[in-house]
Amino acid sequence: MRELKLLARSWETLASTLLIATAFGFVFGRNYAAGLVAVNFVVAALYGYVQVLREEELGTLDGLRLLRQPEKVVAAKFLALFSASLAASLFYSAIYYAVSMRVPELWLLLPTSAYFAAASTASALLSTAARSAVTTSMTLTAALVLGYSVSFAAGRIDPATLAMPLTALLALLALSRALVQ
Amino acid sequence: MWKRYSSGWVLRGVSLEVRDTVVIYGANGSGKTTLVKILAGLVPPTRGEVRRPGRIGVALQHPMMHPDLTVEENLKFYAGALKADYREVVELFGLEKYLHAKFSHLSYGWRRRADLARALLGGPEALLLDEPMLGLDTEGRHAVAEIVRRFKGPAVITASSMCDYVEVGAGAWFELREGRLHPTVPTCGPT
Repeated sequence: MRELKLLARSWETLASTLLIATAFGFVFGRNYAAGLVAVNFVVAALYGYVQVLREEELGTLDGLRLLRQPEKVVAAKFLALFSASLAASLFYSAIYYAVSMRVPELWLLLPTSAYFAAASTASALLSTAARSAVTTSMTLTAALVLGYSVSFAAGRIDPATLAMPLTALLALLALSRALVQ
Repeated sequence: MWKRYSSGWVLRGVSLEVRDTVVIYGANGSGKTTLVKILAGLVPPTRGEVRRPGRIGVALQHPMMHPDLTVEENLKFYAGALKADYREVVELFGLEKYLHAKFSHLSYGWRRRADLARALLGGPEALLLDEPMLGLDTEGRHAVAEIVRRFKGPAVITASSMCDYVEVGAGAWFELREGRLHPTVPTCGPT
């Protein structure tokens, strides 16, 4: 709940998300999947900053560390990012439909949003655990989503790719003690 | 405990057993905050170990309440995680009138008070307070001193000014200098 409230209070990020999703809806009017990946990449990076990196800068992540509940913290961060990615994807899909009058491939929404949210949460937490800069998080996110994006571009979403979000989330929870404490 | 950063050693063999209230005095940059963070478990020591009691109430110089949430939302979140009632600390620190205010809209002194209230949620077994009186007015300093005096358990408080902390009635005083703790006595009368 705390994480969702934080997302809602960051109106600049919300405005950026809506603008980006709208822009991509126009730009990718011919290729739904490409636009979906692009929207999720930008949104995951933006909200990864709000949810984790800004909290580290403010010092408020220390408060969460002191609770000694790393799995809960990581799960809450992931869920908040997933919600934001999914909402942005839905908004993008609506714009895409309005512009192209083609029905979007809505089955792609859940795995894409889940994967990008997991990748962004993992990158942000890894860079805070390593006490490195925001740019490290961005580099890690870019590296983590590369495989997924290539798979999309090649036009084949195989079972291994679809299993990635769940695998990434499980890895994240397994690493949570090292990442948040 | 020993702690080294890339700039060099900050702590060079600090050994401390805390049974009641201890004030650690030191100049800016002497390593007080590093010591508190190690004791809290937020920073690992380079060498040595810390044995902690159960739950510790920690307040650092930067508040751990999120600026985008209200005081009540912040306290409710931490109280929920600790299965505690936040209304007790609200009363203790006189925060009633600021409950619905966004944390970032409070003055520095009230932000510190609210964050100290967070540290006391759920009745911690020990306290770690990093310069808790910094930025507080006279009333706020008296309130903090009263709370520490009443606290039954080990407490470590850091101070960059001795005068402000005489009132807490500490059982021991140390000066953190050149990475080591030196027993000392406060050089200021009660305020």
